[in-house]
Amino acid sequence: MGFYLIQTLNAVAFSVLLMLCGLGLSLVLSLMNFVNLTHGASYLFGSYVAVVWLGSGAPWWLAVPAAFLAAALAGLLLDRFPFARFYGRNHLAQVLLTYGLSVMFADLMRLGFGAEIRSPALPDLLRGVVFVLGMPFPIYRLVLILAGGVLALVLWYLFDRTIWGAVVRASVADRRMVETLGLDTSRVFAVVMAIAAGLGGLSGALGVGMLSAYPGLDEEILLHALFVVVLGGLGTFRGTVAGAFILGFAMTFARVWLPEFAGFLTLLAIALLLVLRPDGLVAPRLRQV
Amino acid sequence: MSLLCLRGVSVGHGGAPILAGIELEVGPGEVVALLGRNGVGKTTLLHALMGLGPVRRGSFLVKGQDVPTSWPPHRIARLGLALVPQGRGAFAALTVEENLRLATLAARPSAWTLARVYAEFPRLAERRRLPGAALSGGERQMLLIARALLTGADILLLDEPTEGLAPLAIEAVVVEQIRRLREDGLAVLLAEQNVAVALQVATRAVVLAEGGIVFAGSPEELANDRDLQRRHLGV
Repeated sequence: MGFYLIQTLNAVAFSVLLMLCGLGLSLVLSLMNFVNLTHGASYLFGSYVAVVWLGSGAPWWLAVPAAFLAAALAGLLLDRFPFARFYGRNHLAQVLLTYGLSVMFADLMRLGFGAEIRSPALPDLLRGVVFVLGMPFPIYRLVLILAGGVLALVLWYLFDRTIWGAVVRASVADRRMVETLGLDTSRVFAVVMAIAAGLGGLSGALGVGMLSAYPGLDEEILLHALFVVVLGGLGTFRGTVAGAFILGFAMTFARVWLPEFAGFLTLLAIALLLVLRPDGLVAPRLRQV
Repeated sequence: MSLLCLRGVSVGHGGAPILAGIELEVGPGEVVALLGRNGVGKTTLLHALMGLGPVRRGSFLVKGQDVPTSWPPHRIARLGLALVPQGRGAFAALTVEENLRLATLAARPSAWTLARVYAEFPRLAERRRLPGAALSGGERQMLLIARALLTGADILLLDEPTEGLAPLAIEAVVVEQIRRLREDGLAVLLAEQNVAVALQVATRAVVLAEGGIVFAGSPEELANDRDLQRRHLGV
């Protein structure tokens, strides 16, 4: 009983990580119809920023905001050049551009942060374990679940309940009509790109205490974020959340029950779901009047 | 001074222009009806003026300010131009209130506020929490006009506002609102298929055919010219 509760908590922690990362990717893909394969690099960059930050003796609780800001700034720069020139082009051109960039970023990060596995120097507060039904569970993962849940709520509120969220949603539906109201949609896009990249960095900073940071992690994360987005359905907040939890639970429990076939079982589950729901779990509603 | 001035304007989608040699002036308190058969290029012209895609050549001045073709739509809109698009164009997934508030974000200073819109369009106030998709045709047209007014625009481009509306809604929403815009001193360029309604509210009429303007004059003149109406408007 306790064992399964612990595994469930593990699955939730992993799902929250996938959700935060998937939300950034999904936002850019659905709003700007832009395939951003540098999202994994944003994640790993955020992880390294957190490792360096925590090693520097600066206040530990600022590590996550620092990673968010650093990755968001990188996203803003990438939006100015070269992304903005590729927003109107087809997906193949975007994939070539962003995949190429992600390979370059991976090499640059290996150069800057080294090839070995880097783990963060966590503060004592986050190092211990709590006992759940007599089984130990790392405090860090509990904090991760809480922080991820709060962040998801904040994001949902921002995009679903505020007028600036309405601007973004309206731009998804009909960019030209938003422009006729005097609003500069290329600035909306730049801000969304920065927030999305920032979310990548933020998930990296939150996840580094669980997954550490090492070359190649960027591609693993990117692949999983893509799974989440495809599984959940494009352009829906709920879909991405659902996709993240299905993938997170499938991977965690496949590893528990049949560790030899974990990857195979996970992909089989995704393939089956996609056969049943080709448009994703939550198909986007038609938005035109 | 005319608010809107077109000199030798041609518009099209690349290749040969759909309309050429367009000369047009609209001053405050004027409603210029843009008439012509389906497909003659009325919507293309309005979209070209707004910078929404069609290629535009020639000189286009808003309040004496030359508008370069490179300007994005939001920059043109900030000169005080607003488009009331045909049928679609309200954000279906956004609530009525969100639709309206979007227009206030980059609004020019004007007498229009959300409170005034709700006072003058009580139907919209009743439905403010509903999504745009839930509105009837007449209510949607109200929403689009109110949205254009909230941007603080003093030049309105109306694209076939009567399309798909019941006669009662045409009278209650379109005719009444355009009269009010005229009294408020706005400049209105009204693309219409419904010749009767257009002549009822317009201060001047322009007929488009064969890639250009074939008639420009008073609504009475056009109303009396049966031959022109039959040839170019199919009335």
